[in-house]
Amino acid sequence: MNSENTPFWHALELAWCSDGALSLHSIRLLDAMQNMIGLSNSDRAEIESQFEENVVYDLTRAGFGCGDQALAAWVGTLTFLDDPASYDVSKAMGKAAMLAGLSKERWLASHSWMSQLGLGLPYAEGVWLEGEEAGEIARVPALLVPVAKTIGLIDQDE
Amino acid sequence: MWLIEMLAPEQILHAAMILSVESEDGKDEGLISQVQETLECDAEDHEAAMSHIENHRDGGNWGGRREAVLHRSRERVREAMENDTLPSTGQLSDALNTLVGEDDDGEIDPFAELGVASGGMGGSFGANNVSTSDPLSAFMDDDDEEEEDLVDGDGFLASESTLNLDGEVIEEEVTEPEIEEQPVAEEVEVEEPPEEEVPATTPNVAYEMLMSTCWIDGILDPAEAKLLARKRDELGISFEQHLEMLQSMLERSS
Repeated sequence: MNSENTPFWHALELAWCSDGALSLHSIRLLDAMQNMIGLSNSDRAEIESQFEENVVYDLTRAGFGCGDQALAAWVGTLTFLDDPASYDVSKAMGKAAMLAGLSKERWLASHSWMSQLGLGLPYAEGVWLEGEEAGEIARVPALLVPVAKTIGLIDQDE
Repeated sequence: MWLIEMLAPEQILHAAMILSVESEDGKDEGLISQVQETLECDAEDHEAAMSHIENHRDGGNWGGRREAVLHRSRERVREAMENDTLPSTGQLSDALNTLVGEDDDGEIDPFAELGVASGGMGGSFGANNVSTSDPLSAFMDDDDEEEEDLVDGDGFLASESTLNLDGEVIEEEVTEPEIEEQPVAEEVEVEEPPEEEVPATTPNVAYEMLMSTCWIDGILDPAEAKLLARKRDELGISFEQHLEMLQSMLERSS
């Protein structure tokens, strides 16, 4: 597992990085997210331990964990996973990534991200042109915006 | 039923002569005479082999296939030494070992570097019959239906017999009377080929090799993705297998 390129890592960044503190609300949101994406305790532990080691130890506290607001909004976007179109959108995104030019690093990062959401297979099918032709992606769902930035579909500044 | 051809003495002599002619020191008549005597080849065999070499040598270029011809010659001599057709100990053996041990001019075999074993590796001349394991054959362009082989109707190297896409020998009508007078190969019937001769993973290895070339410029592009999709279909590789191979390839390269 590529811990740094996962939605849960992104959630931890939202929770911690605004003011270097983690609120109780954020902890509950992280628990909710873990359940929604079906993340195992062991995988979560691995991600969190790496996050602490690589990020948290270098933070300086400047508040009381106000990152929970951004995190709450992010967790809300997970409803996309219940959307019947999520499979097709993921496949279309894979194709778009390939058309944009996909390096090994981008493939690994984006596939890792999509896999944690349970969308790794359609995404891979889109990239590798497996099965039926994927459609065009009209709009990137909020949940996938971070990975869309990773693969260059959206500018990092947007 | 499979047929495995054993090397004929004149083929071994021919291979040894090629190596001798192409060695740094040039042709060693003394060594060739010893080989000829050991193999019980007559002067006619020697003359036929020498004539063949002169006709095909092309100034040492062998029609652009020098390395392949030398490689196959080494294989033949090694095989003859392994099955005691040629001595594996003694002075002659030492001289032959020197010949076959010569490096390929320092050239690097890119497929060996990729860890892809060719169908002929470790096999005999006769093992051409099972050269379907050549992973590269799967990637011949569909329009390029034929590939030249190194072995001609006499069993000598560098001529015109051909292999099809799958590496199978395309039957040619070779009606040279010499073949009847001098049986080229002794045919031995074998009920089932040993599994080692045709690795079951060959399509996977071939596919992985192709896959590794897709990121050679750092970026996967649509043409490469399409090619891989087509090859998966042709080689019967599932998408799940593709993802597993891709993962293991990337893990190895990281």
